[in-house]
Amino acid sequence: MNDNAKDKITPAEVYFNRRALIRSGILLGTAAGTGLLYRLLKGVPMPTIETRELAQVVAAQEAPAASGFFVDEPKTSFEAITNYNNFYEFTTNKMDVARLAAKFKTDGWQLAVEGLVNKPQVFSLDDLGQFGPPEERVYRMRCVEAWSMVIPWAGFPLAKLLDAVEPLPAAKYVAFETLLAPDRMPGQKTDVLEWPYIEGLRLDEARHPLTILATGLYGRELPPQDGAPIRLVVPWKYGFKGIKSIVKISLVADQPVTSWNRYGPDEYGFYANVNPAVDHPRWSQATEQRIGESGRRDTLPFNGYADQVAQLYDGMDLSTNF
Amino acid sequence: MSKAKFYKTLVWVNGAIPGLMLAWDAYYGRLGANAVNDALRTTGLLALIFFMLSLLVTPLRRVTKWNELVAVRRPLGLWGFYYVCIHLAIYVGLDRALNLTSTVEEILSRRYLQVGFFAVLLLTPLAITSSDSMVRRLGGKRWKLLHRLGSRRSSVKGPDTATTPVRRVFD
Repeated sequence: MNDNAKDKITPAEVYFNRRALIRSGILLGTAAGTGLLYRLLKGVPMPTIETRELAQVVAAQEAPAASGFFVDEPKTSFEAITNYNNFYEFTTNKMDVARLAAKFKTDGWQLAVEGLVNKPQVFSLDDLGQFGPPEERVYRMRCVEAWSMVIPWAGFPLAKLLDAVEPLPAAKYVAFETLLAPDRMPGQKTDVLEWPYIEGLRLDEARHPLTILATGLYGRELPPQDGAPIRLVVPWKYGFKGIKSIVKISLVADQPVTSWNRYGPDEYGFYANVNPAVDHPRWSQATEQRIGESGRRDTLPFNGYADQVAQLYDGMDLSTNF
Repeated sequence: MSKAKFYKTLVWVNGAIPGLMLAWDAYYGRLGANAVNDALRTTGLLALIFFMLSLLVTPLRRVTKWNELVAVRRPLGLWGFYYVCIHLAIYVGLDRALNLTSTVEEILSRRYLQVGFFAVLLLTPLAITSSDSMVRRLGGKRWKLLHRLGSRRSSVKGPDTATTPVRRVFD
């Protein structure tokens, strides 16, 4: 090789340094790219928009301990309650309901109460004010999927509404129905469930002091993702019994069809009482993940409300009537 | 550093990133209301993704004739295995709260857990025999047989998510 060509050869250290530089660049670049891709695919939950404060909420602590109106366990954060929702009317993704329901309006809402009653009526949200200022109830909520929360609801006993319409002696059950509006509730365009969502209770369950129609949460109006403007709360049953965004309540003679029971009769029963001794076919119901805690809790019979409700089921086989 | 070593380093570093970000999000409480469930799903998905990527290497190399690519197959597979281990550790440690009886009971009674656990059992010998010295000890033919068998059967692991009904996975 002649001297001219030799001079043109890049000195070894420079060549290797350059390669090290390029390689470090590639390493950092791909690392940044992977990080970005991860963040894109797995976003971070959004903070919640606050709803209006409810006037005059009667505090739950005032009630006698035996009532079960106040459970002395740490309340689940408002953030969690409003960003982790099973509300298939919007989406099956629990963390996306808040975003999709954000624009759901409840103006002019009407709740029709009919069927085997003396005084069928249609209530507006203002009309419901006749049942008194919202009472705070701090209840456990246990989802059939084995997670749970402690939620400070605000509402009024369903029994007061039933008294106002005067059920006839033939009425043995109460049936509930959610709004059917696929243009406002996009999940209703899918066939993950049959719409509208329907639920039901035995009349004595409906009249129980623990059963409420909730209009609020943490002293504020229910956010859309939690079932605005009015929903059922039956704390000793699995959460799917807590039908949301109710438009119709009917008093009927026969046990009503319910959405999850219709979908999977060997997995979801009519009664759906929280029962650690009766497993779901696909997972154990013996323990639960309390949202906000890292360990697991033992699930309590009737979700800890046995003292208040066990007598409703005297003599019933709870493994067949699940 | 040779090209192969550099590619391996790329995979090692990039494979760690999702895990680090998951841990970071967990520390700052950004995994949503049910962090345990979220971490389980994410590590499960990451494991699947890395296994898929490692399986893609051989056909990709054949098509592109990019021979150095084979160097990334092992780190990709190992990252898949590591995410499987983290997934299992989260399940036993948090979802089952270190209750071994409950863990065994659940695995014995739930089809989707059996499939997942079977996949872990199959993958462990693959991870153990992944090193160069192991390849030498077993000899090329036996090593190839073991790993081919393992990759066929572990593609069954995908069903850990498929046999689990929609609601449970996308929860």
